[in-house]
Amino acid sequence: MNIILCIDKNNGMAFMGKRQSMDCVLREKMLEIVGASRLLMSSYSAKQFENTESIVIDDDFLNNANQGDFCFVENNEISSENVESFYIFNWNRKYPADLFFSVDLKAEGFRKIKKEEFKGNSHDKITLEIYSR
Amino acid sequence: MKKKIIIAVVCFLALGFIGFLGSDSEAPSDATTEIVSTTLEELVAENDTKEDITDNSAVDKITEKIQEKTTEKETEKQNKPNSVGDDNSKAVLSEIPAYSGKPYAVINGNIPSFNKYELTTKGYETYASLDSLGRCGGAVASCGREIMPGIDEERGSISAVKPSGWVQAQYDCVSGKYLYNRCHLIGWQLSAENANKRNLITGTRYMNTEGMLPFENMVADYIKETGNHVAYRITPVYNGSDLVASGVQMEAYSVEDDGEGICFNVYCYNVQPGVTIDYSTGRSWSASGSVATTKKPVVAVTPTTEKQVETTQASVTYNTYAYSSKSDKFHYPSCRYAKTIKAENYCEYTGDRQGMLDKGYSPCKNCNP
Repeated sequence: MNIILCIDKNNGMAFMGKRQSMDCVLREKMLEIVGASRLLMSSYSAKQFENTESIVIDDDFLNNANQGDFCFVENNEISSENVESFYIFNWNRKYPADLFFSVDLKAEGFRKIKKEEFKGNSHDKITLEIYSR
Repeated sequence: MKKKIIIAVVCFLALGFIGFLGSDSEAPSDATTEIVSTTLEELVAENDTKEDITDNSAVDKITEKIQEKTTEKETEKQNKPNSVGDDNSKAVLSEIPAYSGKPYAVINGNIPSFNKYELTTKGYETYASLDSLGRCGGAVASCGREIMPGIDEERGSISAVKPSGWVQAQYDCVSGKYLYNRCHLIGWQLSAENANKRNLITGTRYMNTEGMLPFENMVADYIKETGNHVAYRITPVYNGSDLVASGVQMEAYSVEDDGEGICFNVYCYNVQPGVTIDYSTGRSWSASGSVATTKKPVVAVTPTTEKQVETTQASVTYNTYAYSSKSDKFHYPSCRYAKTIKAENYCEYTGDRQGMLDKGYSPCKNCNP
């Protein structure tokens, strides 16, 4: 599976179960990346999408994802097990956090294959980095 | 004559509506009266401009309008939470865990406390008056786009404000060297407030950037993204008659989505790793026991010469600095580089050095102001 996640400057992902931030331009970008593949996420994450027809909403999505699927992870612990690629959106801001992305990508054999910056709707600069084994 | 009959009929219907809406054993609310009043005004306006309107169509139309507006108000009322939290939401210093390396701690299970008047979808901000010791008392707001800075709005100087306990000092272990920031209760990015002495406290660099700023960022970006409102309260917490707050309680709750987007109640520690602070006065020293490594220990003085006035007390220095509107460096006016600034770009600023740093300027490496 492929993991999509958002982090702040401190690798934070969420605070007290809530996402740190959101941006509609980032969501559009995410749907572009996923294309015709399956996109799985929790019911909490799905609330921010207007059209959920192409989304598989499953609160146990990390255990039910197959090879080639994309999983959008906001407030779940992430490991590198069974992960083909990480799509990491960086807010380039500091937010409060108590859940962090702690995978040591280099040690786990991932290498950066792409980096892209774009302007969001409410964020001046969002950076997308793609890591693959 | 026709107009007067229409108005009379509509007034009769409107009063009937007031009776209906107020039937819950309460007097008609201001909102209900406003609906009827606004609708009546619209009716009169329409009859002044439309000549071929019939009595029945006007009455039907205005009845329909009153119903529509009432439904809108009722929907808004249903979507807005009545209140959240309770008295346990307040920060009590004795119950807050001691600082243990994290810049903030969750209070009362992260549930803030706001009453139904504070959970409003109209932007406002209020600041408590300073107390007899000159200390800030706190601020409450409904943060929304309408009170945030405009796209091109620039920060103003806040260096003229000296919050209680403002005894500035420099340490090598502090990012930017200066121990204290003039710390906004409601951040500039949320309120566009500049030199408001009821909104600025003496806060450590650490509390400002690692404690409060992440929460401000989260609220500001949420509002920018959604256009929603966030009930927001910032309360400095003092121990007795201390001049410097021990910390700051931050509470926030997003109104339109009933806390789905933003909901927190946290305490930010007004500490600086590596520095010990006497909160009763604002004086400080290195945690290792040595005196503050203040390069130019000075006391607050009125603007004088460009040279620092040295005394034995650590505080603020006022100086005149020169800078170009086309550059990001600042200098002493006597600096050879200041003299190369074109007349049309030449600017001067009189105040403390931190004021220039706050404005985004960096010191010239030649004259080292």
